[in-house]
Amino acid sequence: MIICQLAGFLGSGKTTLLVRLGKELGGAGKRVAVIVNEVGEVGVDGAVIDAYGLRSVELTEGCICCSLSGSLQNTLRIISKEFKPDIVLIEPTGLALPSKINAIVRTSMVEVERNVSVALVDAFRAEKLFKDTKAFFSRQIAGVDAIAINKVDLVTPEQLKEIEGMVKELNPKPPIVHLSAKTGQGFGELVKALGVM
Amino acid sequence: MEEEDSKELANAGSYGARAHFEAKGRLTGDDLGKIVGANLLEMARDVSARGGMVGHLKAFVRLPEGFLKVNVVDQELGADISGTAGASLVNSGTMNVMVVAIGIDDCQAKEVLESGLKGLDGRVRILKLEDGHDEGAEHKMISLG
Repeated sequence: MIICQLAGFLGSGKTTLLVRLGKELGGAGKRVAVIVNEVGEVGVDGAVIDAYGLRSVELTEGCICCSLSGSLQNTLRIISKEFKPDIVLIEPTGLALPSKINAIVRTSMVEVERNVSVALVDAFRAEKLFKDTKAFFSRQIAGVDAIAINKVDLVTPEQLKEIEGMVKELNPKPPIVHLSAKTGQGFGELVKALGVM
Repeated sequence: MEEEDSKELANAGSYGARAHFEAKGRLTGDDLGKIVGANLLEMARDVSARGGMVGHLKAFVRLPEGFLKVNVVDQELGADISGTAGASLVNSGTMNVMVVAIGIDDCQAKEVLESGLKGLDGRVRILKLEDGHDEGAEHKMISLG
């Protein structure tokens, strides 16, 4: 079982990417399970994911990287045993720290073939987020296998270059993919970088 | 060691609610999308007026005729509206709405949402507003492929 975490700040396009990736994987004959997390009791993302024909387990009222870490581990164990997926897509809240989720997955006592994660960066808001929430932003892109600068259709090539520079300053290690989860631009490259197909 | 809370780290506040509504007069899915979009933008202005920064304001409207999803992450960018309701006439439905913002607390997020929803009054009548769990949402299952 592969576990693939789609992380990133609020509004960075995680759900849009999840729907695209889930459909693509399902279309390729993979057995896909989806775990979606919302900070509030009443969620929105789970309903959106269901509306696009993907069924999800929604963990609400907390964050799976901290207060709901036990729920995430239990859910992974249940899914692994009862559904036997090829891949589990995890969409954490936009406030989660991916490296903490990776650690929680590692100690969840499920057999994991690979655990991969991507952090989405909203190209349109990157500069503002970098300025206003740099420390948090930095932790949200730490410890991931790939960084996807999303919504590239909303910025100029010059702006994109600047954003890439900011991201590399904070985390120079992972490959950076230019993505529009909405239009599909760069999607193939991201899938390749994550090795999930 | 005390467990770190990412919501506290980000200094974020959030609130979500589910509104059951009915249309006042003739209303299409497209009309409703625009109204909800304008409404979320109004909430975004409220967040800014309180000194906060919009994290994500989002709504999912479930209708017998289809669905609408509406997102606001930046006032300058406007509302992103999509879905399948289109030109169908809307009579009633449910709408999950969530406000997540940086620099305001949960109580303020609740005020933003509730005050914002009042702005729908002209075209939509809110019959009931709930902030509890979706029945069975946590353990409904999963499949694809």
